[in-house]
Amino acid sequence: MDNHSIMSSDIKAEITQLKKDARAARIKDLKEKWHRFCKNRTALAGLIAILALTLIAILAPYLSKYSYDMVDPINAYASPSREHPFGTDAVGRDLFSRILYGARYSLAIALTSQAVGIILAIILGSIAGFFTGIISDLIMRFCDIFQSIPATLMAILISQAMGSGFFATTIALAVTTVPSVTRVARSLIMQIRGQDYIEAGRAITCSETRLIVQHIIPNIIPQIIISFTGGLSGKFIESASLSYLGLGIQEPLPEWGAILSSGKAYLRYYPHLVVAPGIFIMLAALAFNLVGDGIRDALDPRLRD
Amino acid sequence: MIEKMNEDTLLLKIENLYVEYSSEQEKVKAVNGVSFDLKAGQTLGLVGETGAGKTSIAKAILRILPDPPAKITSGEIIYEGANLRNIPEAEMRKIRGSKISMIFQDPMTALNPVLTVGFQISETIRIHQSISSAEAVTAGKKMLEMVGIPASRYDDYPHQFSGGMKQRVVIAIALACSPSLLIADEPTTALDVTIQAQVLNLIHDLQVQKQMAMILITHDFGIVAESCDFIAVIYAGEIVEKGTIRQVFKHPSHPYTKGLFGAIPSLTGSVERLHNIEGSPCDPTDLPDGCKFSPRCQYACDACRKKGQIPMENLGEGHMCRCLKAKEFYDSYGRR
Amino acid sequence: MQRYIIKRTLWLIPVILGVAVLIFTIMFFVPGDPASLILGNTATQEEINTLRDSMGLNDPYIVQLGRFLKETFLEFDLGESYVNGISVAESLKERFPRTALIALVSCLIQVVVGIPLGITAAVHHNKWQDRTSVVLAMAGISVPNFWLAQMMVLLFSFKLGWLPAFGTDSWQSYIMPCFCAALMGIANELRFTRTYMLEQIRSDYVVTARAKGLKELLIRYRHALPNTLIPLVTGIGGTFGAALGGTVIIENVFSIPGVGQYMVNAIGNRDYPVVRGSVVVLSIMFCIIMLLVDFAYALIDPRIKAQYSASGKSKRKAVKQVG
Repeated sequence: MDNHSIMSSDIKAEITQLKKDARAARIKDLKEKWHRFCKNRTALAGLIAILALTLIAILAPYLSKYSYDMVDPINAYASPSREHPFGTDAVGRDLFSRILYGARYSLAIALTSQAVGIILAIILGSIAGFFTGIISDLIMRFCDIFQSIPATLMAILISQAMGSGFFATTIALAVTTVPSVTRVARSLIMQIRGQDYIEAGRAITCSETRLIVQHIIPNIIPQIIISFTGGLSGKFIESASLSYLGLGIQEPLPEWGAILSSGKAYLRYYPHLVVAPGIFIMLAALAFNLVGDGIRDALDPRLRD
Repeated sequence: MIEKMNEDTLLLKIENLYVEYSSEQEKVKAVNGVSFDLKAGQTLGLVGETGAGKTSIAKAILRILPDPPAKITSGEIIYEGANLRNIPEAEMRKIRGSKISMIFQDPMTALNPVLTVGFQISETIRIHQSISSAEAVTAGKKMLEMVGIPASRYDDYPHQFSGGMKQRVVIAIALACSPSLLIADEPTTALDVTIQAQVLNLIHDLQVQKQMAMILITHDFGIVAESCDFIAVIYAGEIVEKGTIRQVFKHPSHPYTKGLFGAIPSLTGSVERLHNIEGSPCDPTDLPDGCKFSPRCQYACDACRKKGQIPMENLGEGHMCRCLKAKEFYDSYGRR
Repeated sequence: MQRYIIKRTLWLIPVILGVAVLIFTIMFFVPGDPASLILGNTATQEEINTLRDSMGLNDPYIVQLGRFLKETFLEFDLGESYVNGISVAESLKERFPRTALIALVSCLIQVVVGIPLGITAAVHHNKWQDRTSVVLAMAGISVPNFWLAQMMVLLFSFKLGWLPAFGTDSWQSYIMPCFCAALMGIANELRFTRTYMLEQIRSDYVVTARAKGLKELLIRYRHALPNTLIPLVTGIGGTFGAALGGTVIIENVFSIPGVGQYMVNAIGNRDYPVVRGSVVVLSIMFCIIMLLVDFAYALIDPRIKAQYSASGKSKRKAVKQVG
């Protein structure tokens, strides 16, 4: 008996040591990935641009002289000047201030919609991956049908069904993410489930939840992060497109697409109303694309070229 | 006798070959001063652990190392009197597949999935011999039959074949132009044990039939014993011991070779139990000074760890060993 | 192969029905009342209710859905616009060719420009051709198409006067719309092609081909390229979907009287039949393109082709054995 208890305490010590080692290895791995990301100069530039954008969004009230909805008809259509760096719009609102405030909406919609979409997709994908049979089939057929409607049309329809605005746009864009990421999540889970170490876990009677938490989740997280960051720039552009069509964020809220939309009628004579917000949309999308590529390369070196 | 080798029959001579893989951060020294020669019709077994540089040597001979990152940094590869390192690419292409050809390790990925196996075989014939496409098809079918696949399967795609059959196709591709040198890179590693013997026998029969020389890369001594005349044991990109099968199998004199054989006869003469080699293969980005095996060698002394390559010791009749104590180990056999 | 074609084609029916149900359901939840929009602010509640009754809007969801499906698929009647009473099918017949033209041409541009650029980039990996392509592709996937369209209008129509800024009066009117709808797709196609091609160039069978003594050109185009094209062909369905979505937006920028513009205008007016009809027609077009892509895929990939002919054979064999 005595011998036995000594053994088990030895084993316990060994297990804690193994766990410590595993954690150390994970931290080392993360550091290595971060290092790899930082070496990618363009990705780093993208990250800095996104951080700057976030700061702009947070500090908009302090950075801008005017409120985003302060109407000043006397100064309407003003060209860029020291007073109004990007000029003013048809009702004399300061474009610079509107764009600074607009960063809030544009960023928030892109991030929230992508996050909501990915979470929904993971849930659906996991269900479809774990419970093969009717449920899985149903989910996949539903994805088929969703993907048979071009994504832009889908986003337009849903944003209208939800009654346009911030919430509606976010949901609409989230829904368009769901089918493809559900497929990715499902195939990842089915792939991992079939792998030897999961079989081994089952053989030593690890509980299913434990397997999910300890093995499957850490294994799909890199792919999920890649999907998340890889799709952000698309969400950015899609949300601007919806607003441009007048179906997303509505006036006078200053989402970048909406600002551009309200300026489109004056393109010929006051092009600054269209040029300025467009450049911001493009730069933000570029930054997200660079970071997305950088993260993909850092997390999954196989995809690297 | 072997000292007086006739230069005329020498098919391949490799002198001091160095291959390096370089990435942004580090340099991997894959092959470090390998020399050996091979006469027509002979078979040399290259034996060593995974990552010892065997495949790099093979690819260096054919000049198909992935460049970048790999580069032959120095050395000579003399084939039929010409240095393959210096001839133009167009000349080299004429040699590849027709005079020197290669069988790859994994038949699952070595064949192009969208081309029929027949086309992949006759393609080789067509580019090296000026014959009509109809003749090439006939020749391709003949090759298929030669490796034991019915000619009716000429138009099938690789995914319709099993692993062993695919390896037969790969062999047919390699032998289609009757090369004088065949490099077989672990031709049976990816196959089922039951198929391994079949494939090896096939290669052996065809080798005899076509009088080819062969370099057989493997980590399996059994295979070497069966099908090779000579053996070269590779560790960390260096040949640590080479000689005829008889010499090396009877008197393994490098501690690494002895480790591979599993039994280490001690210097005092008493026989110990089966033994595994302690430690793991050394990190090719950070090779130790002196003898590369010294960190894992129980006989290593300070002299072994001095900077510079350990010289090859001639143990007689061409049995060479890269160990300072080789003579001692070699002599210990006599005493027993 | 025949079995596959029949099976895949029949699968189209439930998908299109599913699409129709989905669209109807989403539209059912769109807030706002078409009856009150038609009658204007002055209408009384009673007037609105009578109109709703006559439009069938007061029926339960399932009845309305059934009526919609029956009319659409059995009577091929997409209804009339609430706004002007014109038959939706008639309007779509007139507008659809313009949308289809822009979507197909821009899809074609994406493939014809994107794939060769991607191959060039992969073949000259890390050389100037590659670097330029990568930078251009990065720019391409970051530019919103509607903004690019406006910038082009500004330059080519307003400043230079080379191309018309809107409408469909001449073939020149289609240049900018097609290009703008294609740009992001070109960039995407380039990136995919480059990645796949690089993957193939590094694969084992390419080493085999090299060891055979093949010329680099043959290795690239006979061995690596077909393998690169297989995933690209599967991707063309998605490419077309993106082009269709792009077309919807671009039509609104250039005031092109196509299905996209028709639909977006109708959404503002709660003109349900128009929206439903437009989306159903565009989705059917999308589904048919995806069907054709699947056929093409089965044709070029011997693994899929053999899978179907082999399964047919083995089934027949099994039947024989049982018999």
